[in-house]
Amino acid sequence: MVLWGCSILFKEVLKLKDVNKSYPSSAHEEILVLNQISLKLSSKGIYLILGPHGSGKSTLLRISGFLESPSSGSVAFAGRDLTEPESQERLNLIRNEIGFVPPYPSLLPYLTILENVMLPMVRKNKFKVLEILKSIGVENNGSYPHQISVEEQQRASIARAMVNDPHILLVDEPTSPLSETGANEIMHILRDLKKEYTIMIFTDDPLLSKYSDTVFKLHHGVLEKI
Amino acid sequence: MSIYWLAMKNLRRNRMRNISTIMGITVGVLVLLVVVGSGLGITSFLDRLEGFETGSNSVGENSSEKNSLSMGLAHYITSSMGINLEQYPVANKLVKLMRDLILLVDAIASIALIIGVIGVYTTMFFNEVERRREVGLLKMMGFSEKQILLTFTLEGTILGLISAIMGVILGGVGLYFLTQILGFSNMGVVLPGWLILMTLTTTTGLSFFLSLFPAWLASKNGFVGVFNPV
Repeated sequence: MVLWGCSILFKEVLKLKDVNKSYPSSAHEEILVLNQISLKLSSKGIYLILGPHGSGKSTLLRISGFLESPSSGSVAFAGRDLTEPESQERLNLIRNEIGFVPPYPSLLPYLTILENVMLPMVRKNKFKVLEILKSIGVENNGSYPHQISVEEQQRASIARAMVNDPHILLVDEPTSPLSETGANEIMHILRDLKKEYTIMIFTDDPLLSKYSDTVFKLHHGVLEKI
Repeated sequence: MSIYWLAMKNLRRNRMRNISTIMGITVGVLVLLVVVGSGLGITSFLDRLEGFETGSNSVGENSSEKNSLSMGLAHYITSSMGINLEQYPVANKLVKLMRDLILLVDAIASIALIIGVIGVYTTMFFNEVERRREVGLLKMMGFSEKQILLTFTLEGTILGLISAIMGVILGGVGLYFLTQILGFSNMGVVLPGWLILMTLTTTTGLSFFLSLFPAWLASKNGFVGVFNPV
């Protein structure tokens, strides 16, 4: 982790090169979901991946987050090629270096907000969690997800992604269940966090472009910078 | 909070389903204990009877008690069935038949326990189907398949353990009243320590093994529904 941290100072955080991903659709046919994707995230900021439903955003998120391996091409984290990482290496990477914010609802309904946020924490530190929750405006720590607003649940989900001090946050559809005001609130939080993290947001909402430093358009598996 | 604590949390979450599973296993344990315990009581009685027939002193020290006990049974069998227990071969056959019957009834009672414990398998299957998205979320947090497998298995095992404890308590109470009604004073004979221990370990062990497959299926889940929530 420390070595990765050092190398991040000099190299790109995440680099995808000629990534293809296809899934079998029938016995002899395959559907190409991602087509020759190349992407380099070298500095902190918000990178928006914009694309309609079915364009391959979730597949790109899974590959960028090392949840899935590409069919071809390479994926490197902090200069290290980890296209096919060993399972333990992959787990360490996911746990320590990458923070996921899945689409709503992503909190476990039978745990309180505090328990949800503490669950993935490697070195349990309640005070640190309370500090993070406070910093992003979650007050009802002892409540269950169904007892608080959707916006607050999204904030808690972001907090959970931050507890292990990752280098990159992968955020999927952060504003889809929210009203315009709620969406703006969440995007303001992410904009504040971009000073500390490299943030990749995957969405179909073009209005989020105004909060982003770099916007990519994903269409039929092809990624292009706007 | 450790991921393994989720097993306890989930037991409280699916309360009604878990209570019905626990009730099923508890009834199985109860039936097994009452039947096996009663069988042990009768076997002990038969041992005394055989001791009298063969003239051995190995079972009971008090020969007058043994005498009156066996004579009473012999008298009852002679008067009600017309079988003269003086004819030892017939009596021996009868005793052997009763012993075989006890074994058969014990075997049937153990089926009740197995049927009860299969409830754990069904419950864990339901859990596996219900929690696919949750498993995907846990994997996104960096939890390994092994940790997820252990969490699910732990949940099933705890279900079995709780049921076994409840079954032993209820079985003990049931056997106590049964021995009081029958006038059998030695409770340690019908519910010995080894029977309690065997019931607890068998029920918990079976629950553990029956949880393994659903838990393995759960651990192999990918990210179903994580990115496309309904």
